Amino acid sequence: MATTRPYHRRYPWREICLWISLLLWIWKGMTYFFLGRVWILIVVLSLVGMLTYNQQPRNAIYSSLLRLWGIFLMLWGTIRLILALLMFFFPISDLHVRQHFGWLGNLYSLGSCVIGYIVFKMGNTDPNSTSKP
Amino acid sequence: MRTLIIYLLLAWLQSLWLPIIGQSTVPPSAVSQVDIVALLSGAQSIGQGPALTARTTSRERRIARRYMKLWMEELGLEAIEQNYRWPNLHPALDIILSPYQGTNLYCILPGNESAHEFVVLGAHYDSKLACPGAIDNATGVALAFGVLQQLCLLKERQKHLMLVLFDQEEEELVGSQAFVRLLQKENFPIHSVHTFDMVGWDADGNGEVELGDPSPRLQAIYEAHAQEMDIPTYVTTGGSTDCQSFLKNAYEVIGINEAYAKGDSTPYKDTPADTFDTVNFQYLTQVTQYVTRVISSIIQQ
Repeated sequence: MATTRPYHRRYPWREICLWISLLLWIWKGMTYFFLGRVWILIVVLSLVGMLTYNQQPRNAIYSSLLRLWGIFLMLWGTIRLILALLMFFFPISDLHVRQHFGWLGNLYSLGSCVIGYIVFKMGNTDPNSTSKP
Repeated sequence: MRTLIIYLLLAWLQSLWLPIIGQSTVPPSAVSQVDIVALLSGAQSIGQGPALTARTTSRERRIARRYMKLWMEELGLEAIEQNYRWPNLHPALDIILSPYQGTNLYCILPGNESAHEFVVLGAHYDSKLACPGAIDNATGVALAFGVLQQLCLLKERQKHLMLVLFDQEEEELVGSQAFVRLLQKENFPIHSVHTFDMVGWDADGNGEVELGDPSPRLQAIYEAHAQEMDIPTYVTTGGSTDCQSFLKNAYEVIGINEAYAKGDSTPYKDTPADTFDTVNFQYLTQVTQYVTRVISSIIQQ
């Protein structure tokens, strides 16, 4: 008799979320690298290196890094959403800033909050548990 | 039949004759300065298309570029787009914001075979949000095109001429900074850079022209011609227009403006009231003649 596997077992969606966020930030880092600013790329690549090196579910460093990255993503999204809200009530004329806070930009910020929460939970998984991924 | 033969003969003679003597007036296909300001500020539109209400969003700037590209091509010049990205002012902003993205548009009017250096004429084509930007800076674009049209008619040009229309001047002079980077990367030998910003207001009617941050050599040339043409001028330093981007990189530069520092400047700057009907075209024409005379003397040397 076939057994039904939980959805999260069939698809490692938490890992997918983590790597989507990392790839998007590597992309951002690369963009600024070509404009002569390297610090984002260095930070993100260091994080990727440390995550890959310590990639074991019960490794305390791995969990801490995931929690930190999750908090960062949530903060990033939240700050942008707050800025969008402020700009809604107090519009500014600077187009370069404004264009980041359209509906697409806000969706992106919201996505960052959600992915940040997922990644944070991933790092918060009880290391002694065997039933949770 | 005889009429047809005479007409064909005349047409053939004209095609033979024109390249030899050159054209004696503005090229017939060239757009007028009034049309340039009208189209860029939304007082007119091409065909059934919607009129521009501003030149701020990427869509509005793309439409403006389409017009300007057409005007360059009407003069027989190839319009080249420089797409660029530019970092934010402070590296910390990079976390929240993407880089600036924009497009400068330029064309080159080649000089004689012996020509080596380039004279750059520049004006920004963007405007503030919800501002038609008739004076700031459709007039600058019209001035640059007016000068280019006249210089197309010159037979002897000892220097190449480059007309560049900058994007994103209203956003920290990003477009002109990106263009300076291009000039440096491509190693263009630049003789001098002349930028035009807001040339459509002269309330006191004295025709005064502001010379912004001029290099000593250019100041002397401009002042000498102003004296001959009886045009009052004065010098200012430390402006915030595109010429600053070139000044920082040690180019020979000058900015041509209406008398902004003396207060004889449009009161509608950066507002929705900066419209076509506020432009003083007589003043724009006079400044165009003045600048044409100066640039002609430079490129014929």
